[in-house]
Amino acid sequence: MAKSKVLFAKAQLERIDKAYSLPYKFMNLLEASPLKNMITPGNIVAIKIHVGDMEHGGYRTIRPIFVRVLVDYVKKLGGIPFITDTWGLRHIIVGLENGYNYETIGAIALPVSGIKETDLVKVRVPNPLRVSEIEVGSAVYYADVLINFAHSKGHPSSGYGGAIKNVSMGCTGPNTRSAIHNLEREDQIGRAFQEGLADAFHAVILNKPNKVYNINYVLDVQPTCDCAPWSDIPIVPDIGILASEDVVALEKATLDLINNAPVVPGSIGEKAGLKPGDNKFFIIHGKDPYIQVEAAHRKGLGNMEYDLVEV
Amino acid sequence: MAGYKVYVDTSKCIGCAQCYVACPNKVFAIINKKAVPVNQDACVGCRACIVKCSTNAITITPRDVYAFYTRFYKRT
Repeated sequence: MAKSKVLFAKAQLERIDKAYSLPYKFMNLLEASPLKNMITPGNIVAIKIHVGDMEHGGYRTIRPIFVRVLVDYVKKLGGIPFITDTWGLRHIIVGLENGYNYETIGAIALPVSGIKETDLVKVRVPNPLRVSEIEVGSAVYYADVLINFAHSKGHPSSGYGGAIKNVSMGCTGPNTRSAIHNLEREDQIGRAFQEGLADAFHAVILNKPNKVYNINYVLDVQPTCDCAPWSDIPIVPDIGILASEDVVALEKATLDLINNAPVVPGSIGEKAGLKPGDNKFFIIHGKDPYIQVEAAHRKGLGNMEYDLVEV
Repeated sequence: MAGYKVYVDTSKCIGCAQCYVACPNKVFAIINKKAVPVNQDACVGCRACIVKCSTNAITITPRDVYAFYTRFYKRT
């Protein structure tokens, strides 16, 4: 099986020139991506991001400028973009307060499943590992294209949350989230939970063959989730933005880069005594994050082998 | 399993039972026209109750998560 291509825009500035700064590299990444073949003029394009926690304690979410770059590119291709997240209208208002509004990003924000999470479509999971039926938010279900723009960071339940979790938990309804969280009781290393995530991801993308593009924002790699009402300093220095049609390759590449990176002094990465090469989130959270990647691979959602292509 | 503390502000709660209906894990009971989180241990933090509540009366906070991280963070 051929290796999957993962595009990589490095955060590091090689020259004092805007072309080498990440927003411009992100534009290059999008130009090099298959999005131009996915989006036809008139398509409605859902961009799933995490807009932040409900209590304004967390602040390390995706910077709005990068969402703007993505929105502008979708519009350039003739698509009609909107951003979306779960937890109903109140969470969308949090997103507006956190800087994701029409003025800043050039697109409207919609709750993925209505103002109170009632607009859901039930989808049967093919070859389920843990969960056989998933409730998918209608805004994503009926969108023509899904751009899964995730923030890569740690998570207490799965060790790590990135592209897989952004869709599995962020595009689904409360019964699905609850069913998957209940799987945490099954084992200590987060296996059942992460296999549930892979099932949910599969169900969400099922009606969108070749119409899903996954992006990992690997900056501000904080120890816990964007849903927590706190942020801590990142455990590794900023890495950049990675993207692929293949979510397995993307997540594997992201975790490998995080694990090979040095730790940030003063972070809990340093307190945990982490070194380059360590499975960092496994040591911090006690949950092996590669389980979700392998589970998605077993379900036929992608390839563990990848080529990292720098833009 | 993180474990969550569920809190209902009884001065805001109007006893409409939306949280009782929404909760997939049957955390709530309606007692004397107020929502009471009688089954807190069942909460997995899905936030279905918060989304449905019309008076913003419910908060949930992670609980046991702190015990695991005491090697990094001071207990609150």
